[in-house]
Amino acid sequence: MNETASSPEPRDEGATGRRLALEALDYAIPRGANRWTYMLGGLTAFLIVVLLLTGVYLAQFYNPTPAGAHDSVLYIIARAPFGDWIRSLHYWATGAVTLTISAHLAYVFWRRSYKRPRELTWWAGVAMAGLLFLLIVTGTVLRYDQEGFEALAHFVSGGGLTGAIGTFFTEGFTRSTSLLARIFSLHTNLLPLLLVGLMALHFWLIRHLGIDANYSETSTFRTHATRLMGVSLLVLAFLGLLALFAPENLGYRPVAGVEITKPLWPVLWVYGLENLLGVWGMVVGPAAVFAFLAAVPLLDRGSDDRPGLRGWVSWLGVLLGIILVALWLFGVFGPRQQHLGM
Amino acid sequence: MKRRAVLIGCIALWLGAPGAAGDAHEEAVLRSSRSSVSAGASLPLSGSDFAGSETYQLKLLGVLNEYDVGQVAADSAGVFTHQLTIPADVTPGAYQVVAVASDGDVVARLHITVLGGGAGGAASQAGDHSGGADQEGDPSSAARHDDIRIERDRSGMEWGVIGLVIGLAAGVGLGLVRKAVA
Repeated sequence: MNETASSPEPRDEGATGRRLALEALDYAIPRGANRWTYMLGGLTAFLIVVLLLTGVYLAQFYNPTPAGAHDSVLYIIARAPFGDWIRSLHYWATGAVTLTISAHLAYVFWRRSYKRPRELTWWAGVAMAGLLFLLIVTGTVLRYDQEGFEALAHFVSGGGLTGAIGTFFTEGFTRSTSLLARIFSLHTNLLPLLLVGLMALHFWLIRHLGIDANYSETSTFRTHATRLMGVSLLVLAFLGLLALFAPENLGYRPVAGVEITKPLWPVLWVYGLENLLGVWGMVVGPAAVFAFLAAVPLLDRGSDDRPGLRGWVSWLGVLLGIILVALWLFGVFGPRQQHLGM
Repeated sequence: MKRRAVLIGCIALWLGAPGAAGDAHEEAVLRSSRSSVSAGASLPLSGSDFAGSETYQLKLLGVLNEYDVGQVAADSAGVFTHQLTIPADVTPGAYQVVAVASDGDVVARLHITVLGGGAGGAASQAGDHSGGADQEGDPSSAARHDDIRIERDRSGMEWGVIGLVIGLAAGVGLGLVRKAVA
């Protein structure tokens, strides 16, 4: 950690502040860390909390059985108290977190903050992005409308393609429960647990390795946290309005054996790739993207750690970004295609 | 001291509050030899531990719909057997058969699955992921990629709470941003 500046004078806390040990937040951080580009990670964390809380509420009404899932989502929308708004908030927060984590990842990549000694911080972040991607696709399945059912069929197909590793994603894994129930369990238990654990590791590393910015001028973390919480609450208010006036809908009960929908927008780049490569696209695409991101600190090992596009790894990242955007556009505007041969 | 008394009072009120009315007297037992039944078919039903010589209304509760499916009378020992006919227009899904006493209390409950009717459409709804095995004709003719039109009925209380949450988030958020800038 760059300990070039002393901590500012401690402020006088009230009794409650002393009980909460708020003075612990008064450690020095670079002044530049109060810029919005440095708030993307914190905003992502806030949105993950929103997703966790709204998800816990939705889980109280959801029935993770093939016979009852679709009706229970209808119940959430039409009957459960605040159900429609909270479900829509969950939906819009999913879109928002996709944007913030993508922007955060891109900015950290551009700053080359993945370099020594912050490799583990980067890997934890990449793993969290991967978990969020999995949470989006497992969450889509839970709708159990035509789109959700086709997402489930993709899991089954992907499970078949990946051999023993993919067995979990097939109905043949066990007779005791349905694949839908196991995906519900993944979405609400295992993936969030891993996500929270990685968030804790990420924050721990940032606290102890410091922020990759200029420490010649400092501020306090409390100022940063106050501003971040303010921005986060404003974003929450905006998402709340979106949830109110542009609520998320639900498709009709699924019909097996057909493939006629496109996935949620964060996954459309995979859909575009499937249009080109067939069903293998959903395995190869995400694997290639996350393998590259994981390999970045190992590939870019020079001593030059200045921000910007330096070296072939940076340019390869830019090329990959352009390809992803092109695939996404192809997914949005391209034709609906069958990928599973149903 | 006063604050503590208010807190204790609130906890006492919360602990003393009645539970959900429907669950108040569920001491009787409904059983069936089957957990699923097709719409239009019959389900063998037996009951025990009911109040002797009482009549109960049977209802089929779906997530969104409710059907009256007849009455049963318990004998003097509080036992009955009954063939419950599921209405043919019941949509497939998860349901509860409940026995309702004359005072409106639900006294017993049984979870069942109603399957799609045997005869019929071009395609069945996907009840499990093995789907398609029981389909006839072209399934794509029944599949739709658009959304259901759902009546969203929000109470005044819900509007108020949601408005409060959004307003508080916006107000506190603005205040914190200003404080941090200052």
